[in-house]
Amino acid sequence: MKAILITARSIRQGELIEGLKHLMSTELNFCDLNPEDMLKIDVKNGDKVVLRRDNSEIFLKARCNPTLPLGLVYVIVHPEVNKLIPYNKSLRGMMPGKGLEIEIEKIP
Amino acid sequence: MKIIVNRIIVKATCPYCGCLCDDVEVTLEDGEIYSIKNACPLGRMKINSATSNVRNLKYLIKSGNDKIEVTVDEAVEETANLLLSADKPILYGWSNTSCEAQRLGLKIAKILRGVWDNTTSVCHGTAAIATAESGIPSATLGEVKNRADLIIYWGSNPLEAHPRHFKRYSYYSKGRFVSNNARRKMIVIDVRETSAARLADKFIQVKPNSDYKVISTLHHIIKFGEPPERKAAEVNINDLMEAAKLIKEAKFGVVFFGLGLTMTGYGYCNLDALYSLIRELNRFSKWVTIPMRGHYNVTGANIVASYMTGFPFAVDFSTGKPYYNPGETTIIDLLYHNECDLLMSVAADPLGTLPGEVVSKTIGMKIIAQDPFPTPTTEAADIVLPTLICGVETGGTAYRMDGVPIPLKPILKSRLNLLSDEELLKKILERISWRR
Ligand code: SF4
Repeated sequence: MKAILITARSIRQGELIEGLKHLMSTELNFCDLNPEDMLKIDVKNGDKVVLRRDNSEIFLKARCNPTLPLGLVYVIVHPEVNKLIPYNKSLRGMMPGKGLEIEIEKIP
Repeated sequence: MKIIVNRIIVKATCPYCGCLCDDVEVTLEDGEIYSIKNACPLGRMKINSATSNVRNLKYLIKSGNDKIEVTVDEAVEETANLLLSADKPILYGWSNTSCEAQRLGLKIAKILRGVWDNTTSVCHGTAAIATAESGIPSATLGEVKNRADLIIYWGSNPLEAHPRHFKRYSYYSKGRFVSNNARRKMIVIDVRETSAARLADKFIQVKPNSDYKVISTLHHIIKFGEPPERKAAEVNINDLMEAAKLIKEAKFGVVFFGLGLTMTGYGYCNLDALYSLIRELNRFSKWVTIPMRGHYNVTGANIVASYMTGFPFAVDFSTGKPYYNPGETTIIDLLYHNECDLLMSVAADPLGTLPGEVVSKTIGMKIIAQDPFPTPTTEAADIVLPTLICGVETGGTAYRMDGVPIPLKPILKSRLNLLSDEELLKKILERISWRR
């Protein structure tokens, strides 16, 4: 399924930044989806999904979030997620960290 | 039984986010942290990290596949060697350290004819570009606290990233002329319903990457009293009409914007559009806008670079004179185009925060990492320079998100025999100047 990736901060992510980054990949390894989108790609809470953009992919666990609009994937920002972020010349050397088009699907 | 000999209360400034809360109180018992008052979980974590075991403790130099421990002088000598032999080094980071250290970094970059960039490139860079082009109609957080009766958060969730912002400076603060939040209103504009949106008087949900159109539509409604003929499908027009009504009724309004606005859609044009809307609103009442800066001294990095070179970030000294052109001279541009042969990171983690496509270009590149904590960048570095934590174990100056300078005081004496960023950079600068 095509979706829009939104990355954002959280208190826990903020607590891990200074010195505890090694815990991020285990503690923050989930992405939020609207329940209808979860049905669409046939995943339940905790199921593994892959997020892809061009040749990059990351693996996370799905988490249900009914407040999210359809077609949006919300991930707490951490080094792993940055693998999906491209270089974007039109952003004048800035980081296009939000609103990226990605593919998401269940890992069988 | 433990007998406490000496208990003192230290007044401190929290060196974590751009709020720079300067009402923090740390109780020390025999030099150890006993309690921390007035800090949020992020601030408490930062102050407590002084006693953490997860620190960079040794000066390390890569030797084969290992890193070997060296003395501070050997590490400085090797750092100078690498910097002086590089064709175009980039010195990056600077937002988690003092203005004094930033100044030294700029001097080093200038001598080396290298590039000096700060983390603005991965956060509010688009706002810095728009500010340079048109100026920013802004105010201090004190003015907001004392006067603002309408507060808008656009693409920002302070409850997660700046937890005391509401209470100290905006919605829940007690101001001189606006004494409580019964007299303030709050609008949150975001692509998703955040925790801040749930507390707002009005939440406006916008589609991703549509902020420019939404700002323009709101501008049109404010100016002409009705939506444009071709309405933005990305937002509910009734919501915008209601927001426009609240905006026109306000006596003093503020728009706090975050990465939800700076990192999406049309980039710096979003901010150009916002600043132009704010200027329009000043025809009705007082309106200002303030960026929700993340790192505690990223504003300082912009200010120091601006007064030393004329430019807020991405300053290229390779022609001997400062040159600035985001799209060509940010760390992201330079690494992506393989234009730099050495990366020196100071108080930052470029390998853990830059886009994957850019990080992959650093493979095989010489890296020097100066940081109190282990990060993906220190892991990959050829030289690791541990330092004291600025604002906790050592002092300096930092600028709050609204551009107000705040002194940072050391909270406790470090148990580690390390130098501050400033002291270490001074040694590197001396070494480089002497050898040049
Ligand atoms: S809001 Fe920011 S500056 Fe204030 S205590 Fe929390 S992290 Fe520190």
